[in-house]
Amino acid sequence: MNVLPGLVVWIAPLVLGSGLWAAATGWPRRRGALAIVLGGGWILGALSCGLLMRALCATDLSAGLSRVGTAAVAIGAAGWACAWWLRERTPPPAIASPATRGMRIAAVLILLVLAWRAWLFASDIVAHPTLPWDAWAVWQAKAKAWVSAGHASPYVPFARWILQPQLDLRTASAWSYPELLPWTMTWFAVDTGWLEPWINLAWLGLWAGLLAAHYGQWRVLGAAPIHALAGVYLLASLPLLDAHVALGGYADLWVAALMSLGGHAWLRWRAAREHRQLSIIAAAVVLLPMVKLEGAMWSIVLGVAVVFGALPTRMRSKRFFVGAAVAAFAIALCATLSLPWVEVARRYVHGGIVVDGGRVAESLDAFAHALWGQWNWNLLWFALPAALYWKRARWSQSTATRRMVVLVAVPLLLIGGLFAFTTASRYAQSYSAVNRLLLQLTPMLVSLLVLALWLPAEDHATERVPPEADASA
Amino acid sequence: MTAARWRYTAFAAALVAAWSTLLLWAAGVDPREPFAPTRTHSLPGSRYHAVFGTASPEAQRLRVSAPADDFSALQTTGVPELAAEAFPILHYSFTDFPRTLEVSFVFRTSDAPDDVQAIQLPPPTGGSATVDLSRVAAWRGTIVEVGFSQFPVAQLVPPEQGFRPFELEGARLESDSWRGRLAATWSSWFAHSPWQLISVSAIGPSEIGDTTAHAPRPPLVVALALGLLAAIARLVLGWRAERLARLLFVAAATAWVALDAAWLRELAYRREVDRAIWGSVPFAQRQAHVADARTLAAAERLKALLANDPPTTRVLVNAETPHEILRFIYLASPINAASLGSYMGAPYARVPSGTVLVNYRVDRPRPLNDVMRIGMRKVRVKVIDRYEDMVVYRVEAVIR
Repeated sequence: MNVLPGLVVWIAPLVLGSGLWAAATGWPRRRGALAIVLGGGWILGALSCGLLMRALCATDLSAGLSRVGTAAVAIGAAGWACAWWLRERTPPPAIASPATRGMRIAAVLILLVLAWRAWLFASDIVAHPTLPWDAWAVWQAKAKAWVSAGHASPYVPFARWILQPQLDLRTASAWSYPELLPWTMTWFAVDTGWLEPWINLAWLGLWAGLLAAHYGQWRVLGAAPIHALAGVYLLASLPLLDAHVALGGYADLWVAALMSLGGHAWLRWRAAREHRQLSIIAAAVVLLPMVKLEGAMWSIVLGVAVVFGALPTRMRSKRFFVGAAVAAFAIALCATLSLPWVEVARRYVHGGIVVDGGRVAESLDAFAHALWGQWNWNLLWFALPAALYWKRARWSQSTATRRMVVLVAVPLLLIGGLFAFTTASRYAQSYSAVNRLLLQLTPMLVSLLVLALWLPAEDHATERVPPEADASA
Repeated sequence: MTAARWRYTAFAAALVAAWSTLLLWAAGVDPREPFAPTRTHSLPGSRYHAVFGTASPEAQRLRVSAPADDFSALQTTGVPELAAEAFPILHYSFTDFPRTLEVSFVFRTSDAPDDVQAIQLPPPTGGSATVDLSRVAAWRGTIVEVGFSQFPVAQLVPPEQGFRPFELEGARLESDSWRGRLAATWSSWFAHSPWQLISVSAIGPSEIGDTTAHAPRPPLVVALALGLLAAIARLVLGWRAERLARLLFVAAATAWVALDAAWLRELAYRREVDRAIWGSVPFAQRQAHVADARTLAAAERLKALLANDPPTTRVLVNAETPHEILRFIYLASPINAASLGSYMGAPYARVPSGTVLVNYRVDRPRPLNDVMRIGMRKVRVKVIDRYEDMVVYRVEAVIR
C-alpha cells in the first residue's frame, strides 16, 4: 500500500467537504467554527467523494484516484477561496475564555481518553475484515462487486436481472437500498482495491468528524470549552456508538451524523438567523435518503422543521397544521415516486397495526430494556430525563434547547410508534434494529443533554444577535 | 458529636445499607441463605474425559490438547445423582483458556437422559468464573452428567485458528449462598466477550433476544444506586433542589466515567481477541482469514472456474441457509450471482440458457438424465464441475 494515494484518499474528503462547508457558511471566525468546518466537512466530503465517484468514474473505477481526487481538491480549494473572498473584513473581537487550572487538567484528561479510544478503534479496525452481517450483505456487497469488477453495474430487481442476461446488470436482495454509502466505499478502495480493514477505517474518520463537529456546534451555541469537551466525551463513551466504529460497515452512524449536523444547522438558523446554515440543512435533507431508507423520514422531519421556522408570524398559530400538511405532502410525493422506503413502511403497517395488548406490552418492555437494561447507552437514558427535570427552569427559557427537545421528540415518537404498534415490533423484541434506529438520534440526544446542562442562561438573551457580534477567537 | 455530624454519619450508614441491599437484590441473594455454601460438590479436571477432541489427565487437571475434526471439544463426567435445586452455583476454572474459544456448560438430567442441555458461560478470562444456575430454566430435576464444551467464537474466528491447548482445572457445584451469588454477579458484570453478531445492535446480550440468564446489568444498578443516593440525601440530610442536584450530578458523572472505564476495558479485550486472530496475518490478507473459510474456498474455486465466462453470466446460488448463500455471493464477488431463493420467489421468471447453478453444501440427488426442476421450470443442465461440497451446473436449455 502506497502512502501518497492513501493520504489523498483521506485528505481529499477533508479539502472538499471543508471547502464546501466554508463556502456555504462563511469563513470560520467564531469560536468552534473551525472544528465544525473540519469535522462536518470531512463527513460531508467523504459522502461527496462517493457522489463524485458515481458521476465521474462509474465506468472505470480505477480512474477514481486521479479524477475524483483532482476534482475534490479543486472544488474544495475553490470553496475555501470563495469563503476567503467573502469573509467578514472586520477583525473578530478577541474574548478571552478564562480557564482554571482544574479545567485545563480535565481537558487534558478528556483528550487523553479520546486519544486512547481512537487508538483502540484504529488498531482493532485494521485487524479484522468486515464482520457484521448487514455490512457485508447490504452496504459492502455492492461496493465490493463494483470495485472487484472495475466498473459499476446497476442493481435491478431479480426478475429483470434474470430475464435480461445479455445486459450488464446485477441484483441482490437489497438491490433497492440507497447506494451512496457503497459509492463512498468505492472511494476509500480507490487506492488499494477491495481491502476491508482499510475501507472500514472510514468509520474512524466519521467518528472523529462527528466529535469535532459537535464540539464546534456546542461552542458556537454558547457552551464553554470544557463543557463542549465534556459533551464530546459523553458522545464518545456510548458503547453502541463505539461498536459501530470498531465494526465499521453499517450506515446508521452516517445517518446519525447527517441528522445531527442538519439539526444543529437548523438550531443556528432559528436561533441566530444564520441563513447560510440553510445550505447545510439542504445538504442533510438531500443526503439522508441517499444513505439509508429511514433517512427519508429524518429528511422529512428536518424539512418540516424548516417550514416551521420559515412560516411568517401571522401563520404561526397554524404551524402544526402546516407542518402536518407538509409532511403528508412529502410522504405522498415519495409514494408517488415509489421510493423504496415507502414500500418498507407500507409492509410494516400492512403487516398489522398491532394493538392487541400483549405484543404492545412485550415490545414496550423490550424497548425499555434496550434503553435502560443493557450496556448500550451508558447512563444516557437515565441522565437525560434527570437533567431535563433538574434544569427545567433554565432550559424552558432557552429557545435553542426547547427547539432541540422538539426536534428529537418527533423522531423518538415515530420510532416508538413503529416498534410498539406495527409488525416491526419483532425487531424491538430481538433488539436487532431498535437500538440502531435510536443510534441515529443519539448525537442529538447527547446534544440536548449538553444544552440542558451547560448552555448559559443568557443564551436566549443573545438569540437573533448577528453572528459577528458573537465572534471571538 | 454535633447534630450535623450525626446526620452525616446516619447518611453514610443509610447509604451503605441501601446500596448493600441493592447489590443483594441485583445478585438475587436470599437473605435467609448462609454467607458461605454449606454443601459443595467438587469435580476436579482429572475426573472428566474427552467426548470430542483429545484430552488427558495431568495431576488434578485435564489437559485438552486438540479439538475434534469440527474444531470443537467436549469433556464430561458422570455425577452421582445431584438435585439441581440444591446446587445452584457453578464455579469453574481453566488455565490458559484461549480468547478465541467460547465455552458452554452441558448437563443431562435423569428425567431426559437423551437430551443434552447447554448454556453459554462467561469465558474464564481471569482463570475462573462463577455462574448462577438458578436463573437457567433447564437446571431442574436430578443431574446425572455435567461437562464443558468449547468451540471457536461463531462468525468471528476461523475455526482452524480457534483452538489452543488449555487445561480444565475443574468445577465446583455449590449450595446457595451470598458468596456464590455475589461471585456470579461479578462474573456476569465483568466477564469479557468478543465481538458478536449482535454487537452492532445491542451491547450486553450474548444472543439475539437477550435470553441468557444474567443479573441486572450495571447501568441499571448504578442508576438505581444514584436514585437511592438522592432519596437518602433528601431524607437524612434534608438536602433539596440545587444542593441535591449538584450532589447527584457529581455522583452521576463519576458513575458515567466508571461505567466507561469498564467498557473501555471491554473494548481493549475485544481488540486483543481480534489481534490474536489476525495480528500475525499480513494486512492485505486479513480479509481472507474469515470464520467461514470453507465458503471462501468454494467461492474462490467458483471464481477460477468461471474466470473465462463473460461477466454478465448469471449465477444462482443455493446453500443450506440464507446466511451461507449471502456469504457465498459476497465472497465470490464479482461473480454476478444471486440467491436461488430469489428465483423461487419469482415463479414466472425463466432461467436463461447459460445460467450457472451452484449447489453449495446442499445434499441433493443428481439430476435424472441431466434434467433439473427449478421451481416451476424444467431445465437441461450439464455438470461443469463437482467438488466434495459444491456442484456447479450450467443450464443448457429450458425444457418447459
